Amino acid sequence: MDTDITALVRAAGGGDAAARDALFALLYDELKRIARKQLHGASSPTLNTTGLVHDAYLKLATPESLNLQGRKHFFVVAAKAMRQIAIDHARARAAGKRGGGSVHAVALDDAIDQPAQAVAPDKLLELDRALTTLEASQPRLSSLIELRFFTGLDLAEIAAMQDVSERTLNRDWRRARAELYAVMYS
Amino acid sequence: MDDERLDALFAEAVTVPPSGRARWLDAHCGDDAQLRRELERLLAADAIAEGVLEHAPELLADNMADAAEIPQRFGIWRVLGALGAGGMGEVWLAERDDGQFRQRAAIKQVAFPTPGLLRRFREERQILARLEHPGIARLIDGGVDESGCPWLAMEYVEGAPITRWVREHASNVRDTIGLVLRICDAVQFAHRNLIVHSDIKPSNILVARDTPKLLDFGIAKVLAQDDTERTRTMVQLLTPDYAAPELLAGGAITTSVDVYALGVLLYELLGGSKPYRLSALGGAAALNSANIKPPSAAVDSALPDAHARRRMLHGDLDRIVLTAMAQEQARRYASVEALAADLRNWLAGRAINARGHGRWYRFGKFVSRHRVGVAATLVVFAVLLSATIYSTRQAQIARMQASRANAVRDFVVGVFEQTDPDARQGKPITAHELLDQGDRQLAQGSIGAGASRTEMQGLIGHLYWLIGDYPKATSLMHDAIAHAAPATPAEVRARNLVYLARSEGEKELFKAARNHARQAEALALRAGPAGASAASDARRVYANALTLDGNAKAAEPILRQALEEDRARFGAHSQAVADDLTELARATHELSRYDDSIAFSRQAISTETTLHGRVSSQAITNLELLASTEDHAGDLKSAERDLLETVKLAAQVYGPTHRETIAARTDLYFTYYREARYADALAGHLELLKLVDVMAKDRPEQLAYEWNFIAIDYMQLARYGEALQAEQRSLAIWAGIHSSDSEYASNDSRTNLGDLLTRMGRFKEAESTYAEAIRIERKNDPADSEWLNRDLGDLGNVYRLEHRAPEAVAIITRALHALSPKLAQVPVRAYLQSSLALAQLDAGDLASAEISAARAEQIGRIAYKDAPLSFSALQYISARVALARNQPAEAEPLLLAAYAARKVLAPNDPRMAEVQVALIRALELQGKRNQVKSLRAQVEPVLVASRSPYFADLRRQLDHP
Repeated sequence: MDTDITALVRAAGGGDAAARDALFALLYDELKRIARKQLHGASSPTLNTTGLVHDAYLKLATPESLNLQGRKHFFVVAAKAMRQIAIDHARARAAGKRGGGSVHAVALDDAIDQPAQAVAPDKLLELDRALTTLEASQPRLSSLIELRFFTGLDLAEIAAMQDVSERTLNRDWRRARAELYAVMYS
Repeated sequence: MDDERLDALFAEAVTVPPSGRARWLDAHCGDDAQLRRELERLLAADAIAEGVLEHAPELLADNMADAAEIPQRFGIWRVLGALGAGGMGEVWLAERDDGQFRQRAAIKQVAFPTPGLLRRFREERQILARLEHPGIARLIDGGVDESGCPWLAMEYVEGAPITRWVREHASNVRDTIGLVLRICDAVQFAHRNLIVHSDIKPSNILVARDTPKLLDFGIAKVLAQDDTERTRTMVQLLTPDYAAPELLAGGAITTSVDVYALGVLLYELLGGSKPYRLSALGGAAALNSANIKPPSAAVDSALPDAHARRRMLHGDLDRIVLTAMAQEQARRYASVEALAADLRNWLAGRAINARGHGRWYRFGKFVSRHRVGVAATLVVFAVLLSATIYSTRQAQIARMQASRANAVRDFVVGVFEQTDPDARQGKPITAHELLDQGDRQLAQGSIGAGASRTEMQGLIGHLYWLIGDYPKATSLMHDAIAHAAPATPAEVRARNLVYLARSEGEKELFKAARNHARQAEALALRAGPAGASAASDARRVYANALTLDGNAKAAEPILRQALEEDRARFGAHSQAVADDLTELARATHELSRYDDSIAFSRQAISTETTLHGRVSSQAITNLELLASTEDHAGDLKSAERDLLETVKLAAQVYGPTHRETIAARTDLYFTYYREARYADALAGHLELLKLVDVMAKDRPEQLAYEWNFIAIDYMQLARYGEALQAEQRSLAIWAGIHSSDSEYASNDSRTNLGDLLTRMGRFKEAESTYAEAIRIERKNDPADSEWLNRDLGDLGNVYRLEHRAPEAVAIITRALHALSPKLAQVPVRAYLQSSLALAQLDAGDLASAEISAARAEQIGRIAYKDAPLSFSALQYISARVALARNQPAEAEPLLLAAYAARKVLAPNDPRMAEVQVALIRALELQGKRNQVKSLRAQVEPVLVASRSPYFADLRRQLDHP
């Protein structure tokens, strides 16, 4: 991959919609490829998935190519791309497997304790819908959730990237989580 | 609504305990009902959202687990199907598809292509492609796919993982070690090429057609990344069970990690189970050597030979395995070569180098020694001297070779002259120092040039081999062969190849040995008369490699022909003929044709005697082989005679304190013991004691063994007081030795003490001694062990003698049931079965006693075939059953036979007394009064004199039948 990524990220960060779409497309392809390989190769389906976006970052960018602002934009777009990949896949699976019926409101951490096959794609779709709802009223919070969920970055890393204190980000996260939960289950 | 205000209030509200929230909301929201509703909504959601939604990445992975696709092809390779997936990525079976030729390959594709990986991949690919060794799956091809992801095509090996192979072939300890040594060879080869495997594990070692092959060599290094975070990821992908601690801690990858992994592999192959599961220990931090049981303590009881295996692993093999997998790198073997050398030492019965007190040797039946290659200065002297003689003789063949002979002689003299006596402070020079001196001079080029230099290199290499410095020997021999001076005559080249082949034969690289021996023979034949001796040696080395490889059948005709030709060429009284005869004796011994083997050994010895006189190291080798064959053939008398001669010669050749000499004497005395010649055995051991006592400081175990032997000799002679003292000394010495296996090793002395106390009638003490022995066996042995169950039987016997017959029946029955069913017709089962019969008799259960006695006799016919004294115990029991049935006529012949067998015992031995008492009873019941009278006169004083309760019982039986 070449160093165009620097310019592309800068343009996307500056509000260039075309650059933003190009970056999204690039990341979408790259992440999908890495995910496929990684998931196929992994001995357990949960191994090292937190590193997906990180791997894409290492592949596409070098430490020098992006400054703090650039990295932030990169990860924001990558999170969106990752969300899109997950949702596309969940839709494909849901279409293949679901024979109608209602969606049960099961807490996500219950689902997490279950083996891979037991996790219904519905949960992801539900999460996606809730995020879309939240996006309209609280774009800042929904973006935070996207970053946290889909890039595997932890709160400390996100705080460093957004140049805010960890304490502030923790507060935001708690609020965001409550908002999302309220949308999903109220 | 003011979102920032909501934010701030929510952040504060969540810090308020739920019970106080209503009041808090009253205070902070005032009349703002909408704000209050919002806050209440958020707080309610927050209360249930705690800890939820934090695991989306796993959720994603779960959802996409089936997203993989199988690629169609890689470069010229067409994918046939998936072979599997490992931590590193996917593996496919592929077929070459470029019309060149048919070839299959296993294609590995790496999961995380990063710029660093690609660079490393390109660098390493070149090196890996050059790694050609029969024990290593070759890298055939490699490339990068359209999306920039590198792949490797490896030689496709269709075999079973080594763990499965060893299990399915029920490979014994020696064979398994042989297999691991071949793996060591491959790893060593790679290390010499500066390639570390770093992920050695069973699934990476496939055995195909009895040959182990290592997969994925160097792949881990290709995957290794410079930046630490990625290394950690890489390490997670390795199999932690086989990864050295420093690797898990993110340390550098060195050859030492392969040594560690080989140690873990050995552990698993020998014991049948892994030393530990990393996850169970909670990560690398919790790991230390103390957490790891020695492999002998971890032997899987399900293995058919578990009990024998445990004994075999105990001690040296434990130490070798634990040294290889030492947690600190510094304590580990420095190289795979060093590990392999110690494994070979073990196979050859030599002392091992692993830390811990040096192995002396185990006595008698526990000793299995192959005495090849003796580390003695004397041998080196002899060979150096004979080298000059040999070369001088060669000189007579052609003038041209005279200068070479001179050079060799000068060299030998030079080696001795260069040895500085002052620096040695009067200590005798060791063989190793002597050779180092020679090697240095060769390297400096101060003596020897051209062909004579090549000759000396080979010779010095051979000598290093004889004293056990294998790495040095191998490198010198290879150097001598690969870089032979251009003018080197064919016979010298042949001689060096013979040295190499011989060393390979001992390393059990039989195929290589045969190849090099063949090459040597061809070269030697080209040299004409000058090469005749090398040609003869080459043929013999070839045949020896066949014999040791289990193909004595093929070796025999070759040796017979060699014998004929060597007789014609060198004469009947020549070294070549003597050596041919020795090899023939070995081959026929392996074929179990003991009469032939004995005949060949005798001829070999007489030829050697003509050549070197009676005293020579060759004579010792031949005599040992002869004695061992006679022993196998059941001729104890002849074995004894030849061992006696061996002892005499060994003392002259090696000196009285050399371990060869002491080992030969121990063998001799053990033969005495088996012949029930206890007085002779005792006299011998008492003499040996004086020698061993001098060396006690360095070798305390040996002294402990010696006292134990003395104790059992005294015991058999019914000299109980002295026996007791001796056994207590043995145990006191053991108690002062603080090594990992001293407690276990001391158990022989402990159970013998139990036997002794039982014979003396000190039943309570015997009970507690056996109880302690049983506790120790339980710690080290599985429930079905021969040793453990024998001790349980011993304890049962004590119960019986204490008139606790029902308890005796119970414990002996338990031991019999626990004893491994594999031990069907062995002494321990005969012993337990007969002990049970006696206990049942005493318990008044005559019917069961009769069945048990019959069973015991049936087993004993095989188990005690050549041991009349042991068999007499079964005759005694059958007689006791007959007496209880009031059939004295049937009991009498049995008792007479037992009495005859026990004549070797002292009159005050309880076994002697009990058989006499039973015989008196049988005779009395038949009214044979005359014979009774003399017997009573013999036994009554003995019974009266003893304080043993058992003798009191016998007395009661005699007086009130």
